[in-house]
Amino acid sequence: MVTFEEVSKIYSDGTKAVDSLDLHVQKGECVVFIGPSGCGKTTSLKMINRLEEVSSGRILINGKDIRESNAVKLRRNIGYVIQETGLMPHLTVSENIAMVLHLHKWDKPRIYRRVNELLEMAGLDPDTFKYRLPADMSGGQRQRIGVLRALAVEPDVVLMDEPFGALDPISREHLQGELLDLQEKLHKTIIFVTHDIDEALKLGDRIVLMRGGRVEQVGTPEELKNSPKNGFVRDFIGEDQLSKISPDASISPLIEATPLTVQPRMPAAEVLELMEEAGYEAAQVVNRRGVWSGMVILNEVKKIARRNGQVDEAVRTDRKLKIEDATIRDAAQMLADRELPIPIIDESSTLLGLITAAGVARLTIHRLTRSVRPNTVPEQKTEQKSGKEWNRYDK
Amino acid sequence: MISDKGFFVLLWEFTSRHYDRILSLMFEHMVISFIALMMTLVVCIPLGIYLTRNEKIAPYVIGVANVFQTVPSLALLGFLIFIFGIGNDNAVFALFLYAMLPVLQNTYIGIKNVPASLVQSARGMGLKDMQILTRVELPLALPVIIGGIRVATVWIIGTAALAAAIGGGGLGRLIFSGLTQIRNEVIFAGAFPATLLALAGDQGLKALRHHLRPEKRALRIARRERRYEHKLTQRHALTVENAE
Repeated sequence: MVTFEEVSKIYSDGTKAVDSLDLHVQKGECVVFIGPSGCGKTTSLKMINRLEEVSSGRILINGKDIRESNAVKLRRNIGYVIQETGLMPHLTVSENIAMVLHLHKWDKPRIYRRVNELLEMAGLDPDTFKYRLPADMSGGQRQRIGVLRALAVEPDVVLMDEPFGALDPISREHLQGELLDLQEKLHKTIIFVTHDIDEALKLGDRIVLMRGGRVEQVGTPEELKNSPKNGFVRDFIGEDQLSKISPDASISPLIEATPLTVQPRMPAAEVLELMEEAGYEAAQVVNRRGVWSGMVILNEVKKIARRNGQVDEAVRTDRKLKIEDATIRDAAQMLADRELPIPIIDESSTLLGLITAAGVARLTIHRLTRSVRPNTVPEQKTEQKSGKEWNRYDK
Repeated sequence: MISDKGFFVLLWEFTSRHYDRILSLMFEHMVISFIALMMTLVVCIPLGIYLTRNEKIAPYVIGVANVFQTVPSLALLGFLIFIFGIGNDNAVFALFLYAMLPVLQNTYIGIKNVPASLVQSARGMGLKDMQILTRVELPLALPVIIGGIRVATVWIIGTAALAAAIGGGGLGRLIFSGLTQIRNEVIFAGAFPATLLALAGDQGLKALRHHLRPEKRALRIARRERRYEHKLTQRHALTVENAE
C-alpha cells in the first residue's frame, strides 16, 4: 500500500532527518514508528502526505509515486490525525468533521447523514455533541472527533501523529482500545507515530524503531521483545516495560476481601462489639442484595450505640472509589489523608472489596525492587488530573 | 454675539431652527468617515495578510503606518494640501493614512497568532492555501481584526471633525463656526452628534464581535440545523404517508 524506497530527508541546514528508509506497509496493516525525539519518525510520516518533501528516493502509494499527483489532492485522500490541537476551535463538532466532506464536494443531506453515522460509531450521541465547540469537550472526546474527521471520507491510508500524546492515561487507554476495535472493522492502512512503547506494542502490527534518522529494527511486537537486534532496541523496549504498573493503572490488583460486613438494620451496640472484638476501625454496611450502603467508623458507632440506635445512622458514603475509573494514585492519595480502608464499588454499587494502606505499601515495595525510574513528563501531567478526580470522590 | 439667555435655551433655539443643517452635516460626517474607513479596510486587511506571507518587509511597512499615525492629524491635513488641495478628498485621504496602523497591525498579529498546528492540520486535510486563509486563519483572527477596526473607526470619526479646517464638510463645520463666533451652543451642536457617532460605531462593532463569537455562532447553527432536521423528518413522514 505504502512503500518507502531509499527515502532520505535532508533539511536545508544540512541535518539528515531521515536516512535511506526502506519500508513496505501492507494494506490493512498498522505500522507504528517509534523512537527517541528527533529520530525522524514524524518527518517520515509527513513525507507521506507531502507536508515534507522527500529529498531523495521515492514514496509509492498503491504503486504510484506520490510526487506525480497534486499535493492537495493527495492529502484529501489520506486521513491525518495530529494531537488534539488539530480541531478548529471556531467550528462546531459537525463542521469539523464535515470540513473534509465539503472538500470532496458532498451534498448537504449526505454530509448530514455521514456526520451522524460517524458520531454514533464513536459512541457520541449526535444530538448532544454535533453543535458543541471543541472547547466544551474533554480531551478524549476531542481526539475521538479528530479520528472521526480523518475517517470521514473512508481513506485507505490514515496517518496518525502522536494522536493520544496529550491525553491522560485513562482516556488514552480507552482510545487505544477503540482504535483497535475500529481497525478490526475497517482494516485501514494506518501509519502511527508515538514515543510511548506501550502504545506501540499494543497497537502495532509491526513496529519501526528509529534512531537518528535510521531504522534500528522493524518487526512485530513479539519479534522486538523476543529477539531485539541490538542493545538499543533491548533497552528501548525493556525500559518502558518496567513501568507497566504505573500510578495510573487500575486499582483492581489491590483489592482485598472485606473482613467485616454488617446489615443496615443491625443494632449499633452489636456492631460495636463485633468491631472491638476483632480490632477493626471500620466496617462496611451491605444490604441483603449485596448493595453497598456505606461504611461506619468505630467512634461513630460508639456514639450511636450509647443511645441504642441502629448501625445505619452512622453510615457515611463519602469514602469510596469506583472500580471503573479509579487509579492506584487516587487510592494512595485517599489513604495518605486518612488511613482507613477504602471500599471499592462497581457501577451498580456492589461492594467488591477494600483497599488498605498495607496493600498499597506492599505494591510500592514490589515496584521499588523492580525499577527506580524517574517520572516522565506525561506522567507528571496526569498527576494534577487524577488529583482533581480524587477531589471529586472526596466531596 | 454673546447673549444673556442660558446655554440650554440657546441650544434649543439653535437646534430647532437648524436641525436640517445639523442632520445633513451629520450625514456628511458619516459619509466621509465611512469612505475613509472602507479605504482603510480594503487596503490594510489584504496588506496585513500579505505581510504575514512576507515577514521580512513587515516591520518596514508597519513602521511607515506608524509614522502616519504619529504625525499630528492637523499637520497631516496641512501636508496633504500640497497634493489634494483643500476639500473632502484631502480629508478622506488623511483619515485613511491616519487609521491605517491599527487595522494593518491587528490583521498581521491576528493571523500570526493562529496556532501553527491548526494550519498544519488544515493543510494535512487537503485545504488549499486560499482555503486555509478563508476558513481557518481569518475566522480565528477575526476578533483581533475587529478590535483594530474599532480603534480605527473611533479615530476616523473623531478626527473627521478636523476636515472642516481645510474646507471639508461634516460636523466640524459647526464646531469651527461656533469657535469663531464664540457660540457655545453651536460648538455643542457639532460636538455632541460627533461623539454619538463615535460611540455608536464603537458599540456597533463591539456587538458585531460578540455576535461572531464561536459560542454564539454554534448556538445559531444548532437552531438552524434543528429546523432543517425537523423539515427532513416532516418530509420523510409525508413520503411515508404518500406511499401508504
